[in-house]
Amino acid sequence: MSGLAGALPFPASGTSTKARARVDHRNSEEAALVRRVQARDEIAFREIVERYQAKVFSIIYGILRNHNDAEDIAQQVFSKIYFSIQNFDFRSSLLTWIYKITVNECYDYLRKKRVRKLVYESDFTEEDAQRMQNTEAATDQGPAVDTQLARRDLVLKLLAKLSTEDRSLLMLKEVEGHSVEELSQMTGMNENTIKVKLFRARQKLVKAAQRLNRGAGKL
Amino acid sequence: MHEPIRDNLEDYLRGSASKISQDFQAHLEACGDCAGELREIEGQAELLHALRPGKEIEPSAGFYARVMDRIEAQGRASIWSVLLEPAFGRRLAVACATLVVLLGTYFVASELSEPIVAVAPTVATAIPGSPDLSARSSEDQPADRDSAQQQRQRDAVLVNLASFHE
Repeated sequence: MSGLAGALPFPASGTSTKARARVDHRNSEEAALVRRVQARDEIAFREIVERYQAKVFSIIYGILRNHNDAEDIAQQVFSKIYFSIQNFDFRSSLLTWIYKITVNECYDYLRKKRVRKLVYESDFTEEDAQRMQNTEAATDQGPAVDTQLARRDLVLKLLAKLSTEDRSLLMLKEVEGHSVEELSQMTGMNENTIKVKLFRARQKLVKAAQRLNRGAGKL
Repeated sequence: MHEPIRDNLEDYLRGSASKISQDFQAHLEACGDCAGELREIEGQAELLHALRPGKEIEPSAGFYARVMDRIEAQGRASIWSVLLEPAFGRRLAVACATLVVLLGTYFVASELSEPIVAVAPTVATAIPGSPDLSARSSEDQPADRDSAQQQRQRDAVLVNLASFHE
């Protein structure tokens, strides 16, 4: 990681980015709570669920825009937290870790949904497909909703091209609105590394969009 | 994208004009490539805002209980699903393969090292004066000689007993 930061001519710490005290994620109140959950303290786990449930729901809803799916995925997220909290190594904040799990679960859900849709549609006759297409056209909710859906579909497709880490980082920056300084504290990485990673992620996103446009142009 | 733009990119996208260096604007006016790439990155950032939830959403009442139900259900299933876990499954497969190889090697090695023992025909040894095949074959192997001799003596006793009754 530091090698990556060194390879690119980003400003060194102390020039444009101020050196900040590293946040010690091992000795915080949150860390004590995590340790209690690691010791299988159910009251502590309940505290984590109650503390982060609204955040998790909002993240899922932001991606999927569906309340029923949000409930199901949120349950799965907390179940995953319960079973894998033993592996939490305190390098990042708990929220960053939960955020990553939540976004991953959303992508798992989207992938499974896509596979289910493909299997389901493969059982259709051409006549069924035509009938369904006509029904969909009749219940079209207007161009505004359509455009929003298309934008969200596009951005989800593009984000799928990034690694889990890059995707979370970019979403924490652009969707959650955290600054580079905050991201540095949340992830335990230095600000230059965050900037390099964000820049690389943005470049990948631009390239993915260009490829998608070229692909659409060929059709 | 060139250095002056790359260095100030995050501050520019965040709208922190005070943090952006003088070089940034100067380079942007001079470099068409950087201006084009920056426009695309700005567009992507705008697109990402579509994922903002808008408002905080609370789950319906009883969410914690539902989470615990799911954990319990998954915990029960995990006793068997542990065999299907990639890491554990891989280790199990390697252990099984190693066991098969070791057992195979053991059986092959034990079969090769087993001594070839000539089967002594007891009927032939029971007939006095007949050539003793077992004795001949056991001559080559001193370890079997004693047992063959004992067998012969037992047979002789049996013959004596049988002839006494007659």
